Amino acid sequence: MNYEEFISVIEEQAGLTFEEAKTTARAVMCALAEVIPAGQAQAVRGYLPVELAQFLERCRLEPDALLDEHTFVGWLVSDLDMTGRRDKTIGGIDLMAVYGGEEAWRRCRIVFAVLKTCLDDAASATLVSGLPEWIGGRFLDA
Amino acid sequence: MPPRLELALYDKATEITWCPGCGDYAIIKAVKMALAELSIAPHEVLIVSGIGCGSKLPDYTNANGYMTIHGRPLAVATGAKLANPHLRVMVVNGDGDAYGIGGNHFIHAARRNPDICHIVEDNQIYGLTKGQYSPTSEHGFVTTTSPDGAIEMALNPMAVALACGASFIARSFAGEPKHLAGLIAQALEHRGYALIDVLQPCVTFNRINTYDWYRQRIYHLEDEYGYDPTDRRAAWEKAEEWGDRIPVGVLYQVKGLPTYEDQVLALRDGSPVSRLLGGRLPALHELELLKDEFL
Repeated sequence: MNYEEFISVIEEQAGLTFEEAKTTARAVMCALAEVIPAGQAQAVRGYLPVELAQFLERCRLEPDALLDEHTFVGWLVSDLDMTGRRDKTIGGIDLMAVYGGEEAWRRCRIVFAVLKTCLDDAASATLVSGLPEWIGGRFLDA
Repeated sequence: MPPRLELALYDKATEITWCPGCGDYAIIKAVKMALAELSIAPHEVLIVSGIGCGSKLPDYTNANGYMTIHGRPLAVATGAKLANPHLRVMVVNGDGDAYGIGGNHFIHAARRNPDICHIVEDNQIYGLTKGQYSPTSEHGFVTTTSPDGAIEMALNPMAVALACGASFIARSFAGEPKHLAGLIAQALEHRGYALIDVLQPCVTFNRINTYDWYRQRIYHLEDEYGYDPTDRRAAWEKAEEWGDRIPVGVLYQVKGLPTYEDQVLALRDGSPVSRLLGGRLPALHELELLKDEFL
């Protein structure tokens, strides 16, 4: 699967525009780069389009052990619109942040599903073996 | 060396209302990890905060907590430390609370050197009040209160702290909670005022300084060959470095300076909490009754 095909599948399954799908894929890959050890990343990069594999070059030998889903989702929500119109009561902007996490994980699940189709069983197992349980489970369930 | 405590000891059932992805999640985890690593029990630490999203941290932590009015946690923390010098005192507040309305307290705390660990959750915006620019927002930053871009130049807390004589100055990134936990532990072990400016994304209102933006720019001083945090001139250079490269780690540390509490004459007869009550030591059952009143 090439990059355009990868993004198109996300676009269709997530109900996004092509540009939104690109942004989502990038966000997920950057977030994964924070939690995948460099060794596992090296093993799976060859299965991915180069436009996505490049983000895994950031992977460190040993990811930060204190990273959890709360910080992981931060990489994903940064590209979502979390605000609405101007608040007509006390000023400022209405928030949609409370829904941002759900939407971020929804999009992440779709990207994971498409990622899995690029990997064979061995590569998938290698990837999951390096992921923390809290994200490995989500990857397997996607 | 006392055994490391369990992280869950500092957990509370209070529902956390931070936005999904907020950098504060990593900060609270790092605070708990540092306390656990140093075997500081919940009753041995006081976390003082001000007003803001990050200032909810004491409410979410099983430890002594005190939420003050906007900008004043350093004043309250200093008072707490004077009353009970054996208590570990931390201040946790945002950049608006610490460097805006709390700026005066910041300057003088750095100068006074009370033994307080000060963690600033620096997301370069006022988040709780829904998106106004703050003292550390960059020039030109567009927000609801700066529709044409912020006019002021951003305050540089590292440089201000250094100029005011702070004895421990560090910076970290909320996307690296383990690194942050290590710095917090160092700050807690440091005798004197210890500032950690934590660069954290506000995922709702600051779409410029995101996790990715910081990841592309930060580098670790620990990995920089030859960097000496006791070198004041070198610290000045690092304090002024911002933009394409942002240093994190301990920028400056000087050990052995007397703390504020060390020099207050009124404490020479003992701290207020250790003074005799009514001229005699309270009986054990009286102490237990006193404790029950506060439980």
